Formats: sequence, structure tokens, C-alpha cells
Amino acid sequence: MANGRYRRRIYVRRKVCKFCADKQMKIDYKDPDTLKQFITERGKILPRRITGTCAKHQRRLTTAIKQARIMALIPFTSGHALED
Amino acid sequence: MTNLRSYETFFLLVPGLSDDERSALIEKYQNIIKEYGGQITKTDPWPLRKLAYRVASKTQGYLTSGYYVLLEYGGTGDGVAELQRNLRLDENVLKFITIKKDDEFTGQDAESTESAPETSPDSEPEAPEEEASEQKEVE
Repeated sequence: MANGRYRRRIYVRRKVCKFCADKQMKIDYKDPDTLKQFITERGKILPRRITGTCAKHQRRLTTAIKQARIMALIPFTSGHALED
Repeated sequence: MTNLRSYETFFLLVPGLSDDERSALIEKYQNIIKEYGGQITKTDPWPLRKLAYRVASKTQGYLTSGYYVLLEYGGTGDGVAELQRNLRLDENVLKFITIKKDDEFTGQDAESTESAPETSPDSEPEAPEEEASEQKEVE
């Protein structure tokens, strides 16, 4: 391969879990605005490797997102979403 | 008296209700908790809110908005079961979810302790704490 072009970045910016960094931030299924930061436009749950959330908070986040979906606070998929 | 656990129940009411009808319903559900010896700590009715997706109602077709109500309380397993049974039967309730917040209930910032406390329901024959009420999610 052409040298240099695909040179790997040596350092990877360490992502910090948002919930560990900010203790005030609570994971709550009743708070769709916070949860929306952790789902894709399609409504899928974003993986940890992208958001940097720690394992503990990711587990809680997953539960909260699913509960919020059940309560129609966030959509299951964008195909069913009601946008204004 | 059986130990209380800390729960919250969050439910969604149809948009067509007047303020009076809504408060009557909320009171009805609060009373179910109290009848079973529970204590309400917080009642939070949300304003009319747009839903994330259409929800089919048995009687009113597809709905796109509704009123959410949050009840926080310390309750017994039987009380929660009865509350959920009633929510399920009510056509004005589109969705509900009950979350166990803690295994113990400490009546923090009890807003309505006057009528609730220690009224051990005589009809309740030392029911074993139903552990089935972990976290029920119902459509």
C-alpha cells in the first residue's frame, strides 16, 4: 500500500463515559432528551465503542432506552416515528 | 404490617380527557395504593405530550399524543398487582410501566402521609411479599 496514506494514528483519543464524568447526569427512562444522545437516527442503541460509555452505565442505559420505547417516549425505529 | 418497597408507576392517558377527569383517575389509582397500605410520595402529571409513535387505542383509533403521569410510592406486592390490574382494564390508559426503585421504602418527602400510614388492610391475610413484581413491562 502507498506508504503514509494509511498510516495509523498512534494515539486514540480516550473516550470517557459521560455518566462517570458528570455525576449529575442520571439515566432515566423518563428523560428522552438524554437517551436520544445514545441512539442512532434510526433509533438503534449506539454501541459502547462509539459513545465511550462504561460497561456499568451502558447496561443501565440499554434498559432505560428499552423502557422509554415501551412508553412511547422514543421510537423503536425511525420508520414508526412521528416527526412533526 | 408488611414492609413496603419503593416503586414508581408511569402511565399514559388518552389525550381526550379533561383536567377533572384526569385528576379523578389519578386519585383513583392513588387510592388503590393506599388501600393496600402504601404511601404516595410523589405525583407528577405531565402536560400533554407528543408520542414517539402512534399508539392504537381500543376505542379511539390511533393516537399521537397523551398525558403521562408519574406516581412514586411505597407499596406492597399486592397493591402493585391490583394497581396494574386496574390500569390494564382502563381504556383511558394506553401504556404503563412499574419500576421497583428500591427494596426498602423510607418515606422521604412524604407529601401525603396524612391519610395513608399504617392502615394495615384487614382483608390482606399476611400475604407473602410477591417477588413477581420485579419489573413488569406491559404494552
